[in-house]
Amino acid sequence: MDRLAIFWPMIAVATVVFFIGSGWNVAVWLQGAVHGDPRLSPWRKLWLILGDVAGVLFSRRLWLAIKATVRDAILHRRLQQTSLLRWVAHISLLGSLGALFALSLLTGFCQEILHGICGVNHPLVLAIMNKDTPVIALANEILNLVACLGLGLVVYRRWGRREAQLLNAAPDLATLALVATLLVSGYPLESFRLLAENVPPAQAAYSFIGYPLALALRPLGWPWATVHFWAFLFHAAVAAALIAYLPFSKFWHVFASPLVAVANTLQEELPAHTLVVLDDLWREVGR
Amino acid sequence: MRRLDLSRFSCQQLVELDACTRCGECVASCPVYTPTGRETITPRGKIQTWRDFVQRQHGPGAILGPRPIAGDALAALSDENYSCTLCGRCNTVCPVKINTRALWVNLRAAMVDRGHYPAIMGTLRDTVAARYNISGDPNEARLGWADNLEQPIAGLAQRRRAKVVYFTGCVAAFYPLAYGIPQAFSQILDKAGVDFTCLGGDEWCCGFPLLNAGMGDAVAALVQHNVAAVQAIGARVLVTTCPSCYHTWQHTYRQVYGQPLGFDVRHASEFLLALLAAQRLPLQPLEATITYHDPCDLGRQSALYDEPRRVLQSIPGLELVEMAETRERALCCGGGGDVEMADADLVAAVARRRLQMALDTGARTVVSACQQCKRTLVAAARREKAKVKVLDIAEVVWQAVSSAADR
Repeated sequence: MDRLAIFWPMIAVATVVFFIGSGWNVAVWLQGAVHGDPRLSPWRKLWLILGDVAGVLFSRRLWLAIKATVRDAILHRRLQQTSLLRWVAHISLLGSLGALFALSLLTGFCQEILHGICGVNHPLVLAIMNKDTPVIALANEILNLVACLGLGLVVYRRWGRREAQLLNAAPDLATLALVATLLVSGYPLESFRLLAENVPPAQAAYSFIGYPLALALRPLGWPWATVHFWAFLFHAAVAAALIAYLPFSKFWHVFASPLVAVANTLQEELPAHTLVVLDDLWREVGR
Repeated sequence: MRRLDLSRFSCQQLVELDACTRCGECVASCPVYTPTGRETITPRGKIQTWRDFVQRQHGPGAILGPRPIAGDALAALSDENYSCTLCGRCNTVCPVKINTRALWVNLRAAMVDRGHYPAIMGTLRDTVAARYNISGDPNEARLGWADNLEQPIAGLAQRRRAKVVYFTGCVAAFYPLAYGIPQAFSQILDKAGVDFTCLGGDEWCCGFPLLNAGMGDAVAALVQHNVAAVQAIGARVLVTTCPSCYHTWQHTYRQVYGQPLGFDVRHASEFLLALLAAQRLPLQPLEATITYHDPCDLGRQSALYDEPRRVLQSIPGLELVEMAETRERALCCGGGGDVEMADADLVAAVARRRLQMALDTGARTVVSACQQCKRTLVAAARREKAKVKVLDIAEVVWQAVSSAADR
């Protein structure tokens, strides 16, 4: 059986759950007041918010919005100023995870849409589809490694340094467990693939962790194609669970936090209302 | 049980509930957490509890109908939220910049809607509605602090026209511990030749304590009256020694009034700086080492950090030393958020910490620019029997001006 025949329905169900959960969350947000009026319909509120966004995009404040997005929403300047360790952990884990997700989306798009449906055979599309293309293999390995290091720092902060401010509540642990399983299962999965597909060493070596692991596993002599099949489905199931769980978990902040950071930065930088320039004050108020 | 009504919150505030990652950066910075040690009193704790309530009643888990909230849980959250000094320090450390102060105020408003608020806040609302001030004294006595001035000041008698209105605020007008502030500031204005007046009995509470209590609906009448009173005098500038009044006039009044006020609003520290720049205030040296306490409503809420410092640094002989936590990270004195009315012991514990920080600088004079900070820190100094003077910036400037006049 083609593993993708199981993979795609699984991802599709997860995506549907993701969108239902996200929509629900947004519906809760839209119960709040927009422009000071809570009684407007959700659609009217959404329209007003989009109007505000457009108002920023087509104004001089666009530059400020871009700056706020990069500085506060992506690079988390304030976090970096407050705690370097936490910033490194956060950027490593979430940044790499995001990049890995984007790379997976790109690969899937090239494979299923461009090549599979549209019949595109451009060398670039074929290169992106091929997991053994050096750049793709290296990118996957490096991003996964950085994410694992970030995860290690998260674990260290919680159970090594035992920082007093951190809470180990069940939802936090569930999210962490899913992410950890996803990241850690990536390397054996790659090893099983290299073994199952008999990838030549010159190509396989770009998977600088997966390949040595494959060499170590090879003497076991397992049916690598079958092992890879089930390992792939396990990895995909964890990814699907993470996608589906996202709107209901702490991970939802990856959408909410950047919105808040940018909105509050833009509001901080609004000009003050003053009529009288301080230097001219005496002229205005003297007897 | 009625489903939780989220209409008191802005859409952005509901996003902010989801934006909180429970990272805990706010926990250590919360002035009321240190003395109580209660997680539920911290910004993270309150957001977590409220978000949980919202999820129970509106989230995906409520698909078959809102899930109940345990009997006393709302009242407990309300108690914790009314123990917040609304200092806004949590906002300055929040990695995603959640506007926490506005969130706490709106949470209080939501609790008021459901009847969960300290009884004293209801008394406050009734007092302001009946007397137009927070103390319950007859409002005509607003200029009581002027009775024992050595020389009467012409500007204090309610004049029909003036270029400046000095808005004294309820605390300075009715609480003797703060009388020295309007006394000093009005004498400075007079000495500098400023064309000013006070509103006397026509000055009503600015509404700040009611806003803090989550009773902002009662503020509109106060706004309309005060704006009309200042406009009738034809003032170009309204100046106040109270950072809370200043913040309310600068922000809430513009929103509630719905149109430009027609005059400028300034805090006394800005005004003093302008008078010094115009060389209207001759200053004599004051030999002293002082430290400056940033009032929350002037610093974090209004971004006026440099003005008071520049005023103090312009006085010859005065050495300004900074506390360990200052400017946007300044620790609250404990006097904000109407907590004094609900839990005086908690205020005392917070004030003790701030006072110790001041003493650690070696300075024996603590200067602030807020009448409530002065009251709170003076009370702490008395309790701790600390040999330290607590003064307002206007009092320090008046010392320098009056010693010049004595020569």
